Amino acid sequence: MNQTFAEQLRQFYENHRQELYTYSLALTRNREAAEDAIHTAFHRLLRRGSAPTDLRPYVFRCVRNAAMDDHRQDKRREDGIFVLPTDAHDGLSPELCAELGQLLAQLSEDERETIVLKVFDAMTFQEIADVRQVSINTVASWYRRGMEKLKTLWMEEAK
Amino acid sequence: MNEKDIEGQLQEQSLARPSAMLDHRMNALFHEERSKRPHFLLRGVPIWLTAAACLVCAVAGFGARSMFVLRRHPPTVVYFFPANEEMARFLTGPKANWNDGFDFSQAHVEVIQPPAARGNQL
Repeated sequence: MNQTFAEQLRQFYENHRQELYTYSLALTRNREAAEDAIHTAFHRLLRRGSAPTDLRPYVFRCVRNAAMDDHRQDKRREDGIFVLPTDAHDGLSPELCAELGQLLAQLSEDERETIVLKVFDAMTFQEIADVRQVSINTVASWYRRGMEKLKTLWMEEAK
Repeated sequence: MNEKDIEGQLQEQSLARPSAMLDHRMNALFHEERSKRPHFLLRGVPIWLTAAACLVCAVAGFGARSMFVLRRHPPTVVYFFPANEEMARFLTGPKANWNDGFDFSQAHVEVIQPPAARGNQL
């Protein structure tokens, strides 16, 4: 492959910008901080000049590290990953959207992060384990526990 | 309700999108990276590589030097002596009988230039 590293990264960003943003937003819960984390991560990657062949988990891990660095700053952290639909928007319910956003916010950070990577970024448990640098069993257990919690909380809301 | 139902409900929601400002910042970042990258001819060469290249060139140059320098043959000096007994003894006798004080004054001396040197003189 006769492609420079910077060009590889640029293409990766263009192909995965939405996934990266959703993940970064789920971590920082602040729109500006989410964008800053992505920018910082790519800036660091470009300075480093090389990366493993499998870019996906590596770049996501870099974004995670940058988002974690941002967590040290005192910022308002209330932004969710969903956009409330307007009434005319594809028949989606703004109430349901807000409710799901609130339910996700009640999960632990590990559970929320795993669900976001699995459901919105279509990652396998193995890929998530690579991003988080933990065992696949730990990831699977975060996911199951998170989904259980979501189910229970949803049931309680419905009552 | 099972996991798949919840996943389906989550996936149906519209996700927050990154702002145009992020794209702008990222484009600026990649553009800056492209402009920073030096042309391959202008890339810095490590000092150790430069030193090694100099050393190799010096050794190779020294080795190749002999191929280009003409060999100098020293001129040959020939002594012609008049035939006599003393000379015959000197040439055929044992080394111990050699007389260091041999009289060369009667010798006729001729200096023969090597062919290459003669060519150069022409």
